[in-house]
Amino acid sequence: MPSNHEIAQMVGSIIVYGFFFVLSAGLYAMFYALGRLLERPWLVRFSYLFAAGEALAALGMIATGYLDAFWTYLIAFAAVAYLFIPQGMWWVVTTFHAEEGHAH
Amino acid sequence: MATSFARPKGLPLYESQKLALAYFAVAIVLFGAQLIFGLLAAYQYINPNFALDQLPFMTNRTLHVNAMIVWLLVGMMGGVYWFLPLETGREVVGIKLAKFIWWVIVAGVGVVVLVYLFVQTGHGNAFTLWFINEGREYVEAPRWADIAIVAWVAIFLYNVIATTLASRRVTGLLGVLIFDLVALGALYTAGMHYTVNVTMDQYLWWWVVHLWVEATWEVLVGVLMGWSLMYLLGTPRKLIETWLFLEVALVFGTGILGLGHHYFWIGTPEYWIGLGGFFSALEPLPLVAMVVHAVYDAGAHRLHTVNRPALFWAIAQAFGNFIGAGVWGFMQTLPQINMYSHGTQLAAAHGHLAFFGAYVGTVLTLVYIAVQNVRRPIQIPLDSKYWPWAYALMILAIFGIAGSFTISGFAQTMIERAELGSTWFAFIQSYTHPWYTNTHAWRFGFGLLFLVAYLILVYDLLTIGRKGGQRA
Repeated sequence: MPSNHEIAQMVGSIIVYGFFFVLSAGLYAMFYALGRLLERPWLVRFSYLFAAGEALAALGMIATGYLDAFWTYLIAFAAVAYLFIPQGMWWVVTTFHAEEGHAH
Repeated sequence: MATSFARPKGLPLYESQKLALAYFAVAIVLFGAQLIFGLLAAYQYINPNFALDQLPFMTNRTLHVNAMIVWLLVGMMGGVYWFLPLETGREVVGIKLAKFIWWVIVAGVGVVVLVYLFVQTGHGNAFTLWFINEGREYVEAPRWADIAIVAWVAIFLYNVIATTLASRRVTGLLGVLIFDLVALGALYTAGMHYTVNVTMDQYLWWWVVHLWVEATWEVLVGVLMGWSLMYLLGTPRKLIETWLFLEVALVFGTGILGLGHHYFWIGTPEYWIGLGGFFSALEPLPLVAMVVHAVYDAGAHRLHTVNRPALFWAIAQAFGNFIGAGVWGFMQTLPQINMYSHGTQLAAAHGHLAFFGAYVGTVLTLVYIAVQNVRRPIQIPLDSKYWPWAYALMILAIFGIAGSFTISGFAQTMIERAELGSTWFAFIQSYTHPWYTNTHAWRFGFGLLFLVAYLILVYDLLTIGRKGGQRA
């Protein structure tokens, strides 16, 4: 049974990791889309740093040991889902625009 | 770039658009009222005795929050009245009724504010509930005002449905709007169901607080931003509508059961923990997706538009929604965290950033579009040297306010709740901790900065597009 102090440390860690988890997912999406839009492969590669950051933040949340199996799997599932959002949305957006004759 | 949504030279405004201008004017005034009461509340954190007997924190907070809800709703409804005749190609059906209920609502808001200011509280009886304050956070409006609000939304819904039918032009945007407005009106009535069982009471109360904001308002914003993008960037209708359907699916798909994150610890069945947690974890998903779309739309058009302030507020909306709702929401959405963070200033940080990101940007986009059409009937791009200052300072200020709340909320969560176990001793320890006390002054300072930005915004709205107001 963890002490209150240990619980407080774990709660604080999950809050901070959670913050960086979603923030990294968003920055990954932004730089990925920007790289594809401007046709700058280095920018796309740069975006993968944030993808890695997002995965690490997820690992950080799991590694606190505060989350049981259900929540561990949920975080892992969400982490994987967020990794594919930028590519998926890029395909959706460009496909829509191409159909309208507005492909970039 | 110009679309049919721009007013051709010499064509008078529809009556509905004139009404929209009244909506926008009142919205901007209430925005100012929100800031004043917010600043007073922020100052009372520094000096708790300030105006204690005249205007206590509780009243300031009520006025701050209620002014925000009303001005954002008014602004968004104004946006519908602006675009509806353009979408249907005709005047709004029932416009006289719409004008009548609008002035009733304006008078009603005035009466409610006066009662909040000068009566404030009453005995715990039906008279207080009906005429003073319902006593429930965020939906404090007395019952008579609740009924007026439902009548207002019902007439608004009638305007939209009757105009759509009369035009014989049911577009995808109008279909989604009608569907959404039915939910918007119906869900508000859930907040009028009072019961002495606090769990049951909160269960329904969250339908208004969560489902309004994270479902019906989000979809209403989707419709309004769709029209705005057609106006600002000339984005094709089919593209807008396809995207809107996708957004509705994602927002409703994750947002409706994401409601469960408010049910974790209020006495509801345990399954809400898993259900709410699962959908809450996915709630940032559509917001991340919107970031990709915003980058594409802004970049593909190289920011070329007929209205720069409107476009920049639209971009701020996409990113602000992600940061405020997505990032600040997720960090406290897991039940294991929410148990300690619920009701702390972490929640206030999330609320401030999310409302600003998702809705303030939307309403200001709409206001600038209307201003352009009033002042610039032909397509001369709208720009000025003032709006970028209002834009940058407002964003800086809201991050400062939210940052201050985040630090103090972190102290509350860690010290008061998790470490010391929510005792009175814990309460005193966290409320005297430097992370809590020091941030009061920061928050007030950033609040003042926000007020400066607001004044610049008002000046810009009054002058932009007039002779001499254009950027050289």
